[in-house]
Amino acid sequence: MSQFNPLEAFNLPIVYWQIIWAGIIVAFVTVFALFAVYLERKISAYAQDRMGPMETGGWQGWAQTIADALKLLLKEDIIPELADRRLFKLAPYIVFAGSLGVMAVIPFGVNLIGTDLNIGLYFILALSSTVVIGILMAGWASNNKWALYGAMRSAAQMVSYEIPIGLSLMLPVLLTGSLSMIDITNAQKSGILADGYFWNWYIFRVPPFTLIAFILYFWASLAETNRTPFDIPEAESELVSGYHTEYTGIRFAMFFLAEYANMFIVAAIASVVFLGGPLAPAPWLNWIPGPIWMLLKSLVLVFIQMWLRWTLPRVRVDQLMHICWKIFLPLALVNFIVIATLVVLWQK
Amino acid sequence: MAEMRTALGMPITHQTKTSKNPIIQWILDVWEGFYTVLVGMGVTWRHFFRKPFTVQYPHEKLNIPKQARQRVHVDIDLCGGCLQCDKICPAGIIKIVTAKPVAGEDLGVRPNGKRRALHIAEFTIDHSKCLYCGLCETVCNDDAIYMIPDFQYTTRSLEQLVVNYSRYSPEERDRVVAAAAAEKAAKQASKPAVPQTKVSDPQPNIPSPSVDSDVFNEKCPGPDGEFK
Amino acid sequence: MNFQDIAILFFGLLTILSATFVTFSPKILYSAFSLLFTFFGVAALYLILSADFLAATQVIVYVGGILILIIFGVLLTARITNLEILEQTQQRFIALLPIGSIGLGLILLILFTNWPINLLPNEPTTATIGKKLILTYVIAFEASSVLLIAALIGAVRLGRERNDENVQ
Ligand code: SF4
Ligand code: SF4
Repeated sequence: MSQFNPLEAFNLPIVYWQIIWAGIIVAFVTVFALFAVYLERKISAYAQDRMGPMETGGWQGWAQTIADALKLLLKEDIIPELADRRLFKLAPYIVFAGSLGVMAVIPFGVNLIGTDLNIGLYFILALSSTVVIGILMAGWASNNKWALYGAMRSAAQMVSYEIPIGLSLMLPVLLTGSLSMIDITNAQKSGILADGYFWNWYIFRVPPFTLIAFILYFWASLAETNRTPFDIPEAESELVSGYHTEYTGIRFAMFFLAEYANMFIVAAIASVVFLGGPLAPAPWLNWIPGPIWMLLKSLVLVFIQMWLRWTLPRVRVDQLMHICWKIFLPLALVNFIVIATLVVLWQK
Repeated sequence: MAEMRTALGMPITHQTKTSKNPIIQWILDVWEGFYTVLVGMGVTWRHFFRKPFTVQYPHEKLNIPKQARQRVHVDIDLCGGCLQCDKICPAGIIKIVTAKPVAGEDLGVRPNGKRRALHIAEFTIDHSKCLYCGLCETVCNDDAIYMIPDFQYTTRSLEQLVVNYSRYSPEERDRVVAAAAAEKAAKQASKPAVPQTKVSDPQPNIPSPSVDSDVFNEKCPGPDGEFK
Repeated sequence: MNFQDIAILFFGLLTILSATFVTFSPKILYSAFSLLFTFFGVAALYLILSADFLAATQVIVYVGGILILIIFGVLLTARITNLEILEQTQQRFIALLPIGSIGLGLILLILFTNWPINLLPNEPTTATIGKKLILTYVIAFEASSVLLIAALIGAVRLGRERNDENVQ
């Protein structure tokens, strides 16, 4: 099942497959966002000894986010009078497109991928930098000081944290010798001892360096997605809600969707690059298809993101920069140099 | 930190280490940051499995203490019409209209065995203005006015909160009040010299059958609002 | 006119139009934001010419770095939105000299370059670029990194407050 190749199965031209896949991705992201918001509410509730939504839809209030989404779609789309109308309208699309574009290169199965670029990981880094532009645009166009502050903070932190993210993602690339997501996945099938087991995943490959890289990536990705403890761009207590303060209705929904899509994306990247993506942890579990493993791993990481959010307080701006430049960056650099040296020695 | 934990009786889970060497200190700091995050996550994890404190309100309710003051209720059969509650109520929201029975008319006994001396022609409480002070409950000699455990009596309009507890319809009220007034007028006409204190009234502090108590105002007692 | 030609025309036009907008827009922020489309157009052109690594680098460096810096600069400058951008020309003849020579050089370059007509097959370029950078052009590569380090140190020196001698 994990060897299922949709191109061969349906004998489709690649363009059709990509269009279909784009539709699937949009639908998936929407459903995931609904689910993730629900999960977030439940997790926050139970972390605080509450219950969260319990009424809408009956059992455990499962339909609450669906109702909220419908409400959001029916809301009036307000553009502030003094806002920069053109940029205000354009910004959500840029953010949304930047987030969604990344999904094209995330493999859900060994053959189930939008397009297997041979610069896959690099493409992800490139596209996620355009999100910053959209955020700055939104913050500026809103003509609101909270939005502008949020946008500036967001941009500053995303630009800074891109460096540890890039450096820690480079370790699997060094070990694989390729930037393609499929190559990285396949390289985790075998390596040490028996093939097909979880200890071949990159997180366990060169202990403790790859483990440190994974943790670094995960933490830095929290900053990239503006989540606690690095949620200063949205700090409700200071900035209302950051760069999308002025947005309502469908445009707000797009930002929201992009945010939750981003959560999934960073989790998916981490699980592909470090946790073997669609690979089963042991050969006798191969009968479970790859996409399920992929989703499972990503969802566990999403759960950890939420878990962290309801555990840690928000850091200050200077602490944020301190963590990035004085802790993550040196660690990532040392990691990188060690692994690079090992790879060179190993190849000789 | 450690002192605080000991003071709070919490176990010291982690002791901060220090080093002279800045690089080792850096590593220790990073490790401590990482470790304390794990500790925090452990705390959150334990909370996931605690029983939530939430009470699913409309489906389940907390036990409310017996003495809680939630809604004034009148057991109109027990009420003797003494007007104590009306007088004490700081909000002035109790309107009682009593009327003496005409001669030969016997109103029977109340459930507590006392004689029923007056028609309680009207007993209106404007619940929207109640302070829940409980004074009416305290002063009532017959335990006729008391608090009941009912706190959900929201209505669509304020008028619906003005409740008349009397068993008399407005017509009956007007009838008994008019009859009492007529009898009194007749008595006064026959014996003009005698004051009206010779009535076999069990509660002598009650003035003449108060046909109209002016204490019931639509608005709260204003700035000049003295107690009656 | 196959798919590739249409794509090249489209992205070329996008690049040129947005670049024109950058130059002539009265609002400096609009210029900055329309640079986004210029950079993307150029990246797309690279992509069509099967230089995928270069395209991604273009986006990372220009969009993720330089454009953000420009926008930051614009946003952090007080009252820049009300700024009247002066568009008057002075000393035309002196200006004509360098501009004309650059233009002439470009035209000559276009005319005399032996443009490869056949597009290269879409093959991975990352490894080739890496090897070239580290082996063939290592001096240029290292020199530019030294330059960058110097710029970084200079920026730190400038950014630090003047009178604190005893910074650890
Ligand atoms: S509780 Fe207080 S305010 Fe309410 S009716 Fe009784 S005396 Fe009046
Ligand atoms: S104090 Fe009691 S008995 Fe007297 S009028 Fe009020 S409710 Fe009736």
